[in-house]
Amino acid sequence: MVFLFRRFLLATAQVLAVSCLSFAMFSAAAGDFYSAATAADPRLREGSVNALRRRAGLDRPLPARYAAWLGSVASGEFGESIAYHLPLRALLGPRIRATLRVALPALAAAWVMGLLLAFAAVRFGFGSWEPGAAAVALIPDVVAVSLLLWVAVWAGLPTGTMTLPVVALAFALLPGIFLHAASSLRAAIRLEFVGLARSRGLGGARLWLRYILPAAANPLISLAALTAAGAIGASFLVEVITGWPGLGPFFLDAVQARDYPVVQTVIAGLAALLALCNFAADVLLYRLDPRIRTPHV
Amino acid sequence: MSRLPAALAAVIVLLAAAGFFATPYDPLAQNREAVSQGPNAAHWMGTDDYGRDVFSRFLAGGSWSLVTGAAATALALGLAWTLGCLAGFRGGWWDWGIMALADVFLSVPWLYLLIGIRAALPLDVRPRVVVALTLAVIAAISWARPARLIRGVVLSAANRGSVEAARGFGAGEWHIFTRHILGDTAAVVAAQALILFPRFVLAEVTLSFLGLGAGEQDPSWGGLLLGLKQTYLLGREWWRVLPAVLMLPVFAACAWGAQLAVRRSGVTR
Repeated sequence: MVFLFRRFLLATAQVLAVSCLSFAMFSAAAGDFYSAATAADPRLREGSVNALRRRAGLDRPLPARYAAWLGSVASGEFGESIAYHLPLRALLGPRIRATLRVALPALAAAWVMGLLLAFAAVRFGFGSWEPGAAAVALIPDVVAVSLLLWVAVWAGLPTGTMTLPVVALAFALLPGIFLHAASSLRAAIRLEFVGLARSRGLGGARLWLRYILPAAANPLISLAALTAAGAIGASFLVEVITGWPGLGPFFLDAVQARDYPVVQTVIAGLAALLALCNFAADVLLYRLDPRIRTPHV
Repeated sequence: MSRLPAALAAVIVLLAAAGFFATPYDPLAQNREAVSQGPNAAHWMGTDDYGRDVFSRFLAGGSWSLVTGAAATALALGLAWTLGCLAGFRGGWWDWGIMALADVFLSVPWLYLLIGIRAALPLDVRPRVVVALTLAVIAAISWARPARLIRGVVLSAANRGSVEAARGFGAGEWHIFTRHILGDTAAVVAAQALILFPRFVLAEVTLSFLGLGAGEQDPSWGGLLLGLKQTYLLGREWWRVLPAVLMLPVFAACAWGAQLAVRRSGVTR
C-alpha cells in the first residue's frame, strides 16, 4: 500500500508541477488574447484594451491568477475562456465527448487487432512482419491520415461520419501496439516454466491464455496506459484533418487566438488524465504481480 | 543489409543539398499562366494554385525540414546528454531534480505539449526566426526520454569495478568521467539520434501543417501536405497526393537505419 500511496502523491505533484510550469510559461509569453485582437482591429484603443484586460483579470499578479484558477478547478468550472466568456466546463464537455467517441473505439480496435496480429506473428513465426511494422509505425500521422482521407474521397466513401476518424486513429495506433505486444509475447514464450509446461504436453488455448499471456501482461499493462495518452495525442491530428469537432480543433483555435486559460486547462487536464492512466496501471500491476507487492526481492 | 540504409541516407543528403542550391525553378516564383497543372515535362510534380513548381517546392521544403530535424536532434541530444550525465554522475539532489523535471515533461501528450509551447512564442515572425523557434521548441520538449536513458547508462558505467579501481588509485572525478564513462554513452546517443531524427522532421512537418511553423509561401513539407486538406479537389486532381507519397521513403529509410543501429548497440528505447 505504501507503494501505491507514494505513486499517488507523485502523480498529484506531477500534475501540479505541469499546471505551475504552464502558468509561468504563458504569463512570460509575448502578447496575450487582446494583443492578438488589437492587431486584427485598428479601431481598438490602448485604453479600452487595457480595461478589457483588467476585466478579464489579466493585470493581476501571477500567484493570484494561479490561485484563482485552482479555485475555479476545485469548484468544477475549470477556468474561464477569454474568447467565449464561458466557464470551460460548458465548452470542454461536448468536445471531450466527441474526442472520446473517436478515441475509445479506435483504442479498442487497435488493441484487439494488435494482440491478434502479435499472437499470429509469434505463434506462426512471421518474424519478418516486425521490421515492416516498424517502418509503418514511422509513417507520420499527418501523412497517413491525409492519404487515408484521400483514398476515402477517391472511393466515394462518406467523410463526415465518425467512421473515418476512428479507422485513421486505429491505424495510427496499431503498429506500436503490435510491436510491443509481439516482443513481450516473444520474451514470454522463452521463459522456463512455459517450456516446461509445453514439454509436459500442454498446448493450444490453455497454454497461451493461462501461461504465456499472464507472463507477457506486465509490460502490456504499462503500455495500455501509454497508448491511452497516445490516442488522445494522435486524435488531435486526426480531428484537425478530418474536421471532427473534438478537443483537437478547439485547442488549436485557442492557441491561435492566444486564449491562454483554455490552453492551460487542456494541458493540465491531459497531464491529469495521463497520470490517472499510469496510476490505474500501477494499481492493476500491484494487484496482478506479486513481485511488486514484496519489497526488496 | 546495411548498405541500403547508407544508400538511402546518401539520397536524403543529396536531396537536402539539391533543395538549397539547385531547384529546377525558384520555389517562390509564381507563374499565373500555369496554375494547378498536373505532372508534365516542364513541371514534374505539377504546379499549385499559384502556379509554383511543386517539385522545386518539394526539394526546397524537404531540405528545410531535414536540416531543421537534424539541428533539433543535435540540440535535443546535447541537452539530454548534459542533463543525463549530470544526473547519473553527480547523483543525489541533481539526480532527483533532473529526473523529476523529466517526469513532468513526459506527463503531457507530445503533440499538445509541442503546440502549447509554440503557443507561448510569438506567432507572426520572420521565416528564419520561425525555424529557430521551431528548433528550440522541439528540443525543449524531447530531451526527457533520452536523458533518462543516458542517465541509466552512466549510472551502470559508474558502478563498474574498473571505475572503483581507478578511484582507488586516486583518479579525479573528471578523469574518471572522461576516460571510463564518456565512451559508454556513445552507442546510446547514436541510436537515439537515428530514432529522434525522423520524429523531429515529423514535428516540423506537423507544425507547418497546422500553420504554426513556416508560412504559406515558404516551402515546407507540412505546407505541401495542406493540398491534401482540400478533399473536394482530391477526387479530380490526383497528383496533389504526390508530395505525401514521395515523403514516405525518407521516413522508411530512417526507421530502417534506427532499427539496425538499435540492434547493433543493444540498447532498447
